[in-house]
Amino acid sequence: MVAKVLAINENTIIAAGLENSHVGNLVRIGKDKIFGEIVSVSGKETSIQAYEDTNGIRINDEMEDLNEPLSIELGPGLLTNIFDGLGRRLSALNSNFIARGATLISLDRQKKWSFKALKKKDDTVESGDVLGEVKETALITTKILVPPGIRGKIIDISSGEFTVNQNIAELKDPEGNSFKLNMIQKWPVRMPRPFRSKLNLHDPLLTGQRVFDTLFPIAKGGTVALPGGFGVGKTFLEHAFAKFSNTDISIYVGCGERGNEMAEVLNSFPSVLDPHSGKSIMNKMVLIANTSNMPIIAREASIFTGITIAEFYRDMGYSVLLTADSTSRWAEALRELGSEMGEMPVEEGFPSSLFSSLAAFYSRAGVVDTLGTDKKSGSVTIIGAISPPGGDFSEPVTQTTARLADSYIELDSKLAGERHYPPVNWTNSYSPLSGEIQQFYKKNIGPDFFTYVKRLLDLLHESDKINEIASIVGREALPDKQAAILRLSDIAKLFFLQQNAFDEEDAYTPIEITYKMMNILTSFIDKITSMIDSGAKYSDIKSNPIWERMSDLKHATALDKLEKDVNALGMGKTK
Amino acid sequence: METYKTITKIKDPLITVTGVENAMNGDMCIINSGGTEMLGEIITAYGQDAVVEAFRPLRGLSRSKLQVTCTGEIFSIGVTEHILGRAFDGLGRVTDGGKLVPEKKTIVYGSPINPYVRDKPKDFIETGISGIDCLNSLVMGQKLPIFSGSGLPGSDIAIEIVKNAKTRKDTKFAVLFGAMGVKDSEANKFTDLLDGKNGDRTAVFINRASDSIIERITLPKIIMTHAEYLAFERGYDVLVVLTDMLSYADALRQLSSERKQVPGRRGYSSSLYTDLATIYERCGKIKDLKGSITLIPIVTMPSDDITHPVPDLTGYITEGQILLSRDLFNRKIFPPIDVLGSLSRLMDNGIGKNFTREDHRQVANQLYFAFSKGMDARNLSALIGENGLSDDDKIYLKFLDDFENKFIRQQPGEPRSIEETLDLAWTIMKDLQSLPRIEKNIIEKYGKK
Ligand SMILES: Nc1ncnc2c1ncn2[C@@H]1O[C@H](COP(=O)(O)OP(=O)(O)OP(=O)(O)O)[C@@H](O)[C@H]1O
Ligand SMILES: [Mg+2]
Repeated sequence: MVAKVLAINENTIIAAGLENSHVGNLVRIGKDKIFGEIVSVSGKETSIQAYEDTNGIRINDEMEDLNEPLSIELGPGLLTNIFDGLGRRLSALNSNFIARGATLISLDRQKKWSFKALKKKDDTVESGDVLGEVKETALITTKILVPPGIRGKIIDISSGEFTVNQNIAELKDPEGNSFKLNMIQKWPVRMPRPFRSKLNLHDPLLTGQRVFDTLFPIAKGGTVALPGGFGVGKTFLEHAFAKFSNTDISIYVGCGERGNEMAEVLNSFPSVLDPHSGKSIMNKMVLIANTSNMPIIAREASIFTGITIAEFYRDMGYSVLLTADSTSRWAEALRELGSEMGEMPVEEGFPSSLFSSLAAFYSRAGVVDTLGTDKKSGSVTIIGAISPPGGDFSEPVTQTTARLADSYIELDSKLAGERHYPPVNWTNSYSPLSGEIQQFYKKNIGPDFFTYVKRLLDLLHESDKINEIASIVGREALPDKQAAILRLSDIAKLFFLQQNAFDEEDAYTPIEITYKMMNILTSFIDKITSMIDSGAKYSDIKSNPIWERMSDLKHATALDKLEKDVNALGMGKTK
Repeated sequence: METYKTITKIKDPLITVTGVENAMNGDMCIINSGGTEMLGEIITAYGQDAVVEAFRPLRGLSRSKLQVTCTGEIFSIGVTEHILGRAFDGLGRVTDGGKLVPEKKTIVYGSPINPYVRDKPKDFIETGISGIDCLNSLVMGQKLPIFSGSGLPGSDIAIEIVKNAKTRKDTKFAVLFGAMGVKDSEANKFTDLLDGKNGDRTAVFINRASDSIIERITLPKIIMTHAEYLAFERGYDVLVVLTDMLSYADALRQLSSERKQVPGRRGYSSSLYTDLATIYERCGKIKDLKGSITLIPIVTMPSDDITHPVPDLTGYITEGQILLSRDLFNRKIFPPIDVLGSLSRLMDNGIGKNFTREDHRQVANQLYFAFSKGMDARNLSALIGENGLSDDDKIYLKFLDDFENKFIRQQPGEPRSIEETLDLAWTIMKDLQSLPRIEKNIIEKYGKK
């Protein structure tokens, strides 16, 4: 029996004739063959969520069950490219506007890759083993792995020039089944890719953003919630993370956000050089774009499309960063889906499954031992921007994500209003570090790293308290010590915490320089406070030119000189 | 086309028709009742039943006289360059009495621009308002809302912009102005725009407070459909000005409660973000094409609350905001632009040597710098009195005064070119001892005039 449309209500389509289909299967509907996904089967009626606009669909239109869930093609040709939420390569659509029903092809079928076999005939391999490799970009060598669920003896393999869908190897398993393998692995996006075991987080993810690398460091394999009201700088931060972080691969998911921002990424990223290799960062990037005016169900899928690609590179032993802007838009898609499915809304309209849905995403981060006999370990780190309605952090998506994520970094509208970027709230944010990572910092960066961090945090908290007093009595009326502390914290904010994304030097700071800056800054703080403690008057030291000189903190080449001058402070001369 | 008289239920604005063969979702229907006709659209279909949403209130219509004709087409309008100089209603019908021959028909819902072919917004649009042009410049392809408050002159600023906006290049420029839910007394002000000096490059779309709310909801879609045609098929740089998005959202809220949808924050549908995005995101530029669509939506913030869902969600979609200040308004300063609360995120793509003038960025930075010094001085003088201020503070206080009264303040009908605006900025900065945000050679060149 042919499947047919029984009813249409916005994005929901009820069908007859699909009673034997599986939930999760893709279907194509009507003469435009728009895509949809089966979300429930009950009795003779099957409920489908359309991924595309349903205008023009008619009752009794025929539909086809593709008999597979939404999947993405994994293989060489993902890097440097941009895909929509369903994994369609946008450059291949050849159209200015997104037409409905375009087929779901991710990888270029024409392009030939030079495949270098690393195993030979008669080798026995299992899932996750590296069969060979392809130089996908100037920066990344993509490993061609034995797909999950397959093992056996190689009966044919050869190096050479291949397109992704040409066979590069043939395997025979112990039961006598043979498998012809090409370079594509098609993988259902909602299913986590398998690995051997999860490991502790042991490497820092260095971002080049000073406030993160010092006060709130992130671990490779960790998860970060990044909430903030509109215009506070979430996207700017996500861009900075995607561009400068010390991970091998960077996946940027624009989820329910602006088309112009994706244009900005496509325009500006190619000329940005990776600070770690000196090559264009596009070599390590995959972009997923679901703009806010694209169908909301495809928005829901975009996050999974992104994380599946991340796991694919993780499985080769790479460290991967996935930045998602914004997970709130994704959660709103879940809410829409939930309400169309008649799920009971519990809080602000979100279904009770919000926690498990968010968990399904965040739990795909981590450091893993991959499949395969050749011992690889890879990681996926997730930094998810959150857009709380009205900038109110008590709302469900912020709160639920905070429970799930390792780090919680609150972006403050008030700081942003003062043009203090990135406006990380130092009181409400937290990012606990494992002992292993603390050791890493102490060993590789500086033994007193966390002493400085604490000194800085103390200063900030103290100055917050003083500011409260100052707002009542006026800054002029403060006692010496307090006045000095306010000025010191201004210096710390202006020349250390604030980082101007428009300034090429300031936009990224290597950890060694950050450490040095922090070192100079904290000695300056110590010097000034001890001078005051030993009786110096603030009015006497406040016009010392060293205060102005502190702006040199932002210039790496001036640091040595500044360090000397700060160290000389109060030595010899009287106060 | 099929006509049905089999109406089983009427619940304003929804009509249920039965016996419909292969009903099409989105089918435009003509609803006829004893000679009066109105449009409607199929929004739900189940077997032989179709639910039609009428575009006008059904009050007073009897079921026995009703008949519904399905046209088999999705909601479309006729597009042409000749809309310029003309007036329309919320459904895109001509209201100035004349005729209009369309070039072709286009579906009003639009399709998302492929992110891959999007060009980044660039190039300057001059609004004639110094507080916008110098400090929060509008860039072609950008969406930049004006956050107003009740009683604040959001619409008056909109009118000034519609009258005076221009591009600095010799390109085709069109301004489409849409007013939703406006009082009859205001409506004439808007249609008068067509008789003014730039009337022939302008089209106005007006939905009055007394008109149907569905037409209030269709209006932005109709305008954006015209804008896409003019921009991407006829090469115009199009500026769309929409007022007031709060009325639009309130109409949407009313409709969703009639449709019995679960209400979200403050009763607005939880899909409000997506709804607004499908309007706002139609702005932009496309790489291989000439034109552009730029949008200024006016949004009233109830009780001046920027966290109200309509300004809040707007802010989450647009690229910055122009915030109006009640304080300046109370001090009779027009246009009352709140300098610190406003930001054009794309400004740098549209200013400088190639677009406005080489000193633009630095002048803007210096104005901000001096402005905040002035504010500090003003706060201090509130604490300790003006006499207690240092000479330096007094200079900045004077600057702040000039800034608000000479630079921000502008008479309606007296737009300034960007050169005039920048020159004026230099004039009010004359007494400042130093200009740390401006390079020497720029001061030499522009500061000595
Ligand atoms: N590090 C920074 N340096 C300089 N300017 C910044 C920085 N971060 C943010 N800004 C300024 O703030 C503006 C808004 O930043 P951004 O687009 O990242 O905000 P957002 O939080 O993503 O907002 P939305 O929720 O609306 O998407 C930018 O256009 C820029 O002008
Ligand atoms: Mg953003």
